[in-house]
Amino acid sequence: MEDYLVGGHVACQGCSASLGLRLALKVLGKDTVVINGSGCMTLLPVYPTTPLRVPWLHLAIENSGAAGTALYYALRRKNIKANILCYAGDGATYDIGLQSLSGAAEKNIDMIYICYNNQSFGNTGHQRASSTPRASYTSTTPVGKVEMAKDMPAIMAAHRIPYVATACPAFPVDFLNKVTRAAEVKGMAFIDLLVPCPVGWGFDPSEGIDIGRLAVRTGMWKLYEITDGRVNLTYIPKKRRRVSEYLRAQARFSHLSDDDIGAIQAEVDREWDELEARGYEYELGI
Amino acid sequence: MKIINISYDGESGVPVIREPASALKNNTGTWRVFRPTIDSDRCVRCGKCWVFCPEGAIHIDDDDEDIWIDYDHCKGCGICVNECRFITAQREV
Amino acid sequence: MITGNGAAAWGARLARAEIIPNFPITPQTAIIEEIASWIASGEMDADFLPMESEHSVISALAAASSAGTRVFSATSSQGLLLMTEMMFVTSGLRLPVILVNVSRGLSAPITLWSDHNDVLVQRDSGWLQMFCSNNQEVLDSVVMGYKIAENSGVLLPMMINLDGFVLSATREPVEIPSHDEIDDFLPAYNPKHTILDPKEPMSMGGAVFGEYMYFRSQQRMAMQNSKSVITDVCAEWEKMTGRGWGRGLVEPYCLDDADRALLICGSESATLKYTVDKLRKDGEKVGMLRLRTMRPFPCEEIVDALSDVEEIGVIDQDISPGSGGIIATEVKACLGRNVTSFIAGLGGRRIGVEKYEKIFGRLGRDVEEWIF
Repeated sequence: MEDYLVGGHVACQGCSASLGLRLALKVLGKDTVVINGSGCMTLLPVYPTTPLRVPWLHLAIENSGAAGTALYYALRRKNIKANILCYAGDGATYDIGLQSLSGAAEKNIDMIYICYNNQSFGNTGHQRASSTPRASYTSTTPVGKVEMAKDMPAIMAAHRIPYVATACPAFPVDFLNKVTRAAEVKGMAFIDLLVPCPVGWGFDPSEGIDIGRLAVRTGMWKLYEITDGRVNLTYIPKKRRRVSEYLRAQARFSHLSDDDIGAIQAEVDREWDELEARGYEYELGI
Repeated sequence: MKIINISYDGESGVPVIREPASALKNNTGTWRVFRPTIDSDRCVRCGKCWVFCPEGAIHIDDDDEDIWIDYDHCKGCGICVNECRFITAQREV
Repeated sequence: MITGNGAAAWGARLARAEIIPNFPITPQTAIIEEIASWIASGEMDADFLPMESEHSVISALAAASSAGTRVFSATSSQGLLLMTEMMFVTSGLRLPVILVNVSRGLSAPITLWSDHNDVLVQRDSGWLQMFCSNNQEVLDSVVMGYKIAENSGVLLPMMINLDGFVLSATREPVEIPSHDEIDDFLPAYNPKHTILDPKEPMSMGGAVFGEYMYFRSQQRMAMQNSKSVITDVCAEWEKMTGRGWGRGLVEPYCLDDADRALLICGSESATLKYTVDKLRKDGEKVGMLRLRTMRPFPCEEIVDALSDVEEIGVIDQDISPGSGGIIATEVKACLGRNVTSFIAGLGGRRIGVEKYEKIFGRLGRDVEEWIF
């Protein structure tokens, strides 16, 4: 299987975001056009070289949704059959790009939007975004973020798009099944991809996949799909790992006391108890 | 008013990169501190390292015969070393 | 008999614009409404994309143009300014987008009536800028705009300004050329410099770092090239329709033996022309120069046209607080001599023949005078 994102670019060592793009393109293939919102991935092509084997358009940070909408119609007029993949960071998606993403979702444009989520404005040095989890250190929340992160998959599902999912490259088969499903679906698909960031989160690059696994196995990042308003979990940890394993492995949570971690554990336990009571599958009721 | 010292280059003056995968010309192998090595005899070709390499620097032959690391593009992140006991790291000399 | 908005819509229809992202704002909304009804009835074959903001409109224009389709949209004041970030991206990526601006004074405070501050704010964006004086010129400029912008020596976006309400909502007789005539004049858009096709993968819009200055120099030269392209296209249009619009850059009137002249742009030029005729009957040697193109700024043409005129004034329907009238500043720099700057008609405030007559008596001073 050929790679449509090759090496030689300047993403950090062990960057899960570039891994996510490499894997997604493997599945989507060469007939794909990528639209990028400003962020870490924008620096993949640097004049005069590019690591991409597919067309790539970057306009600005907040307009991937609008660009995808126009591109759908333009490619149709040009008789070009290609997947449209928007690959933008969580800052560009949850915050500044929410308006144009909402517009594209309302129109149910036939495209795939993957938000590579490092839970911050990563490229500018890990500042807080509405995707940053509660208690995380960022350079603009030095004592820890107070607010919880937005529930972006629910927001996208409220637009009644046919497919919404969460994923993590540490679970590649699950991720790529979801990308395949997203490509098959007629209409907009949104995937929130957790990409652990060694620089921003504070861990050794070699642990990139481990941290992703812990995020999922502690239950702090849930892997699920929302298909036409129906939620189903695609991975249920048999015995959840303690959240302290995940939190203590990252510098961004190093200021948390044992009590803080206890509170987070209680919250995660409560959420999963509720999910279990509902049979891990339920209607969102939209 | 005359404009001097610049001239129009037509379509090549448009800021577009036209050569796909041209980044392979950049040697990011120089980033490494530690160099991973695969024990090719004990490797079972499970493909885990190949999947998880963010650079796509690990290559497996179609017939599973050969597995090798492209050291011009391996940044030495250590993910493959962490994931597989048949891959070890040595300090880059 | 159609309105300025109708003429702009006809321009897009004749040019066979394919993708039309849009967002409503007074006084431009009728343009997109007209186009919507044509598409719905099948009279126009285009994709109508109602976007959720003007920023998304310009983003959609840029994305569709990057993919190699011909695009069109319209906006005004606040919407035009909301597009600002992407205006620079569009011109930096050398995308021949055509945007009609129906001018309206900027908030705050709010006005719905016309002045030129909105379009002039964008003069550094790398877009060509044209000012229309009547509805016929609007239709002609939109169609010609595509031919100019898509020229391989230019490849820059263009905004075509018409004055809100005065032109946009006023009916005037307009000759609408046939589709056949325009299809001959303007072939389909098939670019090579930007496409988004997996068969020929390009990476667009990435970082260039040190080469930034080189690409900016290319934009500069493209804008220089556009002067001759504008003149040529207008000459071709004149052969076809009999309307040359003064060869595209400036339109002189009664300047041959004038000792006093006023420089103006937009629809106010019609009232000024009437005033010139009136004063000429009384033996006054007055004239006017209508500025049609603000970008590229036609410095040589202005110098030529006004070389024998002793006293010059500029009417600015705009103000750059802290500097003065925007057009007067550029004209002064270009001519290198005294120019009286008149600030008039801000927010669509009525000027009128009497005031123009008085203004003609007060030229040749190095002042900025506000006309209320």
